[in-house]
Amino acid sequence: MRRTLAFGLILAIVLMGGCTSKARPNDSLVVAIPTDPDSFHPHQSIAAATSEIAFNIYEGLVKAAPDGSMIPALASEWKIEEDGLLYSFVLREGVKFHNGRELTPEDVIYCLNRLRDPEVVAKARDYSHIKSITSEGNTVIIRLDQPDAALLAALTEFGAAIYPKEAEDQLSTKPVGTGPFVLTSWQPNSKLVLERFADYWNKELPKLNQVTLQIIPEAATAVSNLLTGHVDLIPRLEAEYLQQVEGNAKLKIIDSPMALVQLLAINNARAPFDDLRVRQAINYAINREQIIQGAAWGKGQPIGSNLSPAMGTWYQDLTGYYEYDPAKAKQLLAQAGYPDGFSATLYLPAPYPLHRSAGEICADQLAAVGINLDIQVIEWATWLEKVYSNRDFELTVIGFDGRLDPHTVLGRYQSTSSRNFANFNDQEYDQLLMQGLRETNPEARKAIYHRLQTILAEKASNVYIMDPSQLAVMQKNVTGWQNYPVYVLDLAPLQRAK
Amino acid sequence: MYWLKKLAAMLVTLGLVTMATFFALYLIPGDPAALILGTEADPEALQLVRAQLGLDQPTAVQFVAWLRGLLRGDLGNSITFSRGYSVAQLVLGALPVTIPLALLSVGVALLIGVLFGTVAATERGGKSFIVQYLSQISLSLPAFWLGILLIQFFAIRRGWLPPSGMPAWSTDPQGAALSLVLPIITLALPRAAVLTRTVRSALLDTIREDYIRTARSKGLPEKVVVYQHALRNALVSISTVTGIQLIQLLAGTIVVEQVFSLPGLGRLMLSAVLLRDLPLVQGAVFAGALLILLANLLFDSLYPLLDPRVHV
Repeated sequence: MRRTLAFGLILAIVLMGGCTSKARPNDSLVVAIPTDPDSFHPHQSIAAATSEIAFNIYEGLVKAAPDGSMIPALASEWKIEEDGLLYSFVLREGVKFHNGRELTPEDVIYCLNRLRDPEVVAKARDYSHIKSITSEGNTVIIRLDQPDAALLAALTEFGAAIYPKEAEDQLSTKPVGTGPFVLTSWQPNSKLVLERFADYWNKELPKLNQVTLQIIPEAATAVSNLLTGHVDLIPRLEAEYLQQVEGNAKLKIIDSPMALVQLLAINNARAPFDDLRVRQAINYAINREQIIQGAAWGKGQPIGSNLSPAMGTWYQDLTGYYEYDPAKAKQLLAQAGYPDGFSATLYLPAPYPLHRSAGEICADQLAAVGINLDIQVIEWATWLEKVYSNRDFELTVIGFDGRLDPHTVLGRYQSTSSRNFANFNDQEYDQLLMQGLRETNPEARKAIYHRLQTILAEKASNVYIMDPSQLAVMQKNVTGWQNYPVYVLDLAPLQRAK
Repeated sequence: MYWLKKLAAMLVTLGLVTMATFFALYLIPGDPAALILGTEADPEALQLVRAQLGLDQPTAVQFVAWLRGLLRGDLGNSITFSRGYSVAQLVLGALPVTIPLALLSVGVALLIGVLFGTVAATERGGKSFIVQYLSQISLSLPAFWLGILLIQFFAIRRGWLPPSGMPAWSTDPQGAALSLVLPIITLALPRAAVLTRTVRSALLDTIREDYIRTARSKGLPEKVVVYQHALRNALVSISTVTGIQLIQLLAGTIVVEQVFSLPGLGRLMLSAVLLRDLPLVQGAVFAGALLILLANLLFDSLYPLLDPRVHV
């Protein structure tokens, strides 16, 4: 018996000895991502997880830059008429699709016309002011029926990517774009392989020959892979795993704003939250610093309204509007007729640890002023149906992704918006929002969005908590990481130092 | 006749399982279209996506359509998890991970179970005590915790094995085999504990039988008595329990494949349920049910070989 066991052990060790860490060539990189893309068809895909990868495969007329501005992509230059009703885009010469064919104005017209058809594409809403798309020589002309200051930003989104018409039916699994990388293989639940597109119009990019996107759902497992060198980069590490990588001499951590607005959402239409004083009391009772320390390990910036500081000049700092003041909160509650506080339910979305921890801390802080919350952690599908679609909730914690244009972000609080699940309702807000879309003067437009953010704070619409940091962790020799105020993963400038 | 009956029972079970899954998915909350659109959804977009996915049809109509497809050998396309892939493609891609994982785990569990169970049954005192104690511990280990612990030690500290993932068998067979080692240990240990106990009690039962006393009194060496006489006769009950373990183990792959990021059937099923990908859940459950029924069939057909008194 003893001999058999010993033999087994030796056999096992010999088998294991096959050593696992394989040296990778210098021009390739392995990136850990948590989920599979939903679909690579620009008109089908909704998931942020897809658009962040698609950013490397497809391009639109214009694209987002790391500073939040819009830079030329398939259009080498563009002009907007003063009345804001006519956009002309000059197409870049000699751009090729991954299938080898050259880009024509007809491709642009075809893709954008399909995109704005609400019978075919769920995202058509953002392009509804387009009246016609035509071409003159190498120039694509877009005419609007009313000024739409958010249009240029909308054209940077994955939905507005240009693809060759003949590839229409294969795009969901075999994308064909003009971007710096070509998707060469996709094994669901396992990995995606991107390879350098040799005919990319920008000869400087990409720096790498091959990028493997390894799908690893568990953050703990992703960290293990990074520590053993099986993975070179985790673009979005959850803050709770920070301590496992901090201080590791082989790794570096780059933290930058995520442009995500995390909030304790309040159902403004439901009693007792329909009382401004109650909402203000909740705002005074919340200690943002404590949440940032407790839920995000200190990695986040406090916010005072529904816009992230990453939005540059659009952003209005309102963090001081409700200084943490539990005494004032109690006083306001008493004025509203709740001297002993009240009880309510707080729904937290199960798949988001950051929102769950923040919610638990909020509950604790609110209990201190007499508002007792019954915490219910619910599955994402249930959250979307119950809280988001049916608006059947009192309080919840959630985050909204950043977009390039403030209208897209703040439009959510228009009283008639179907995305307005907090039931915010304010006449001045509705009017200003429409004005902001038609305003073509940048300075006047900026003033409008500052005012809109202020209204959201004044009316204590929700408790705006923080913009959490995006923690990108990578091997020390990886360079070229770029952070964006929108949800993209820019692989083209990445390289590995020798 | 026996096999015909078996086959009929299998088909009925499969039918019931698929029907139950289909309707269960309609009872749990969560609209696939809402999941696709997330926090950017509006009613028009929801309606459009529902129509595109065929979800605007009544449940019964959808079920009949699915059954029709099945009869033609078409399981449909996934709708929320990597859209555009056919369910058959995804399920078939997952089998080369899950089948070897399950079979090897049960093999390892059986090996450990027989070795340790025999020790526990035949030795007295210390050794037997240690074996029983170990089996108690491994029985109560949560799979995900054990998995993370193994990764920590064998992958991070020692660097002997990959921490997760699995390359395709066709491109890197050695890598694929190596990446299954830790998942197999994770899956096999609790099963081995159960089998150790089964082997022990089965052996203790048979050792009391008359023919064992006869064998001993003939002067046969103890090893021959235990391995050739006692164990041989204990095999029937061991194989019954092994069959049950294999089925439980298939359910256990859901957790283990998630922890080790293995692209197997369990993980596919989990992704599909979380994303409410109805056709994919249907297809994956169908495949899982088929695997379990085949495993049952395999173990049923073993009985006559193990015990000549059993006839079919």
